[in-house]
Amino acid sequence: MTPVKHLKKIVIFILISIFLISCSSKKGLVYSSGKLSSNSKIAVIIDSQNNIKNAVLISFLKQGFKVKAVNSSDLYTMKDVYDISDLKKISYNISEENVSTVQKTYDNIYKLHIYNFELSKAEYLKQIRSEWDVEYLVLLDLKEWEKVSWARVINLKTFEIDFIENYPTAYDDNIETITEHFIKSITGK
Amino acid sequence: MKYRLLHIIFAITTIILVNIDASAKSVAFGFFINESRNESLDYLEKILPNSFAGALKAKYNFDIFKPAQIPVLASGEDDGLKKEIIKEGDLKVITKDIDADYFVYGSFKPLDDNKIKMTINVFEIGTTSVFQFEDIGYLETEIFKLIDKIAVQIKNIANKSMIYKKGTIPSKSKLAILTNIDGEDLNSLYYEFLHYGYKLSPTQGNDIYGLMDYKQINKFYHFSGVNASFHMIDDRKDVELWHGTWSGTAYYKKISEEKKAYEKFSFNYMNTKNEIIKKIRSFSADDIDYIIIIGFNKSKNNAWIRCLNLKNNKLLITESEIEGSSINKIANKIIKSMTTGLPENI
Repeated sequence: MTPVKHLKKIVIFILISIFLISCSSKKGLVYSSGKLSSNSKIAVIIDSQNNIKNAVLISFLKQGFKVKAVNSSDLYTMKDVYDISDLKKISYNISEENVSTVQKTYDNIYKLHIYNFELSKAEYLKQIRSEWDVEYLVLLDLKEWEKVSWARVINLKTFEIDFIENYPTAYDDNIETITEHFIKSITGK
Repeated sequence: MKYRLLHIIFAITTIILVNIDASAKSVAFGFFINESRNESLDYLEKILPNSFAGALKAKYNFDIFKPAQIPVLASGEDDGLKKEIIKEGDLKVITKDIDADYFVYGSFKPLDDNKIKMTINVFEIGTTSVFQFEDIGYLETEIFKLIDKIAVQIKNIANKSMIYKKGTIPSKSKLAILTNIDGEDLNSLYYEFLHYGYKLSPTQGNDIYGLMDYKQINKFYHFSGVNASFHMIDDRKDVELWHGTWSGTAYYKKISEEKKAYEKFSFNYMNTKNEIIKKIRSFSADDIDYIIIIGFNKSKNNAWIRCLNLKNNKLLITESEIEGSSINKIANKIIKSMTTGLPENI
């Protein structure tokens, strides 16, 4: 065998190995505690351009869902929760002085902010349930080939996560096929 | 060939010896102070640390230093001074000449029905953090059972894994998980908990993106409950706010606000935190049983957990250095930790 042919075989072997490794590391998983009926009232959260969002919403509408589209930035805002006035009162420059009490104070302010923010989000979801009559929150993140798209469904009646799925996007997938895949998994049809 | 074999045997022996040396911990003990006025219990101030030291040495092969072997503590006793509960702000000075990995000290007070409550502090020398926990048991003939139980806790806390357990979390409990991963990784984590039978609150999972990165989640590394706490040392001397007749009204107002901030978020933090915990508990739409904080490192191959029982605000579990080659594997180890009792042997 000539050196060139030998080299070609090595390169092909390496490329196949990389392909197989990247495929095997992207595993799908799905958990469902129950199937959603396709005439459920849902709010869909997806962080995409409007044309993609519309394509997703149309897929859900076609299946009979009663859909409200929301941006998570509309749902949750940190500015009303994060009270930086307490931080401003602490006058130490933390990067210059490593003082345990001061570090503890900064950390605790941050922790309380996180608790308050999560509580605010929960209260807002409760409002969505009662004012918009939404039964489920559906979160979707659609990714291109070689990455993992994922979905999550939150039951706003019980405040529990009812459904999760990680779906490695296939080479021939597009927005519609991924969305339809998730809808099938969510409804069990 | 013969020399190569000798080299291999030498290398293996060295590796074994290094690992044995690395695993032997050393703990110095301070006195356990009688918080009550019942002087008939003063004898426990020495008995308790000596008993803990004995148990750690005999059962777990720790190197130990009893209070009488620590000059800064023994000299106080020799002078006939009444022993006092050690202030956390003085730990650095007290331990600077102690050649040990950890310093353990505490206090106790008798309760009704012949019971005793002990407060134990485990301080890793050279750091600025203390692990404090309480335990209650019976006096007299039962006290050595309590001592053995506490010795196991000390042994598990006094290492990098810092395992503390006060119970287990049954399946079908509802968990609120706060973590620094999101998206598909968060789904992978959720998958294992849901599969085990836990119910999951939508806390944090109700958004596409997470709020915290691997540095921000570390602010939760120090975590407290009403019964136990792993916290950074705070000392009012750290934040002396100078003022005098020269201050002026504006400056005085500024430092008064600063003082209030330190009171609220450091010295009286547990009261401040309890208010928000009460709010979370009373949010009836989401009836959470436990808050679980899970911090992943940047490579997501190592994690730590803190578990709080939301119903009674008690710290239930801490554990660090949970390793795994995937989030699913780490999640399974976490679930195992949450569902099994305290390990006797590490």
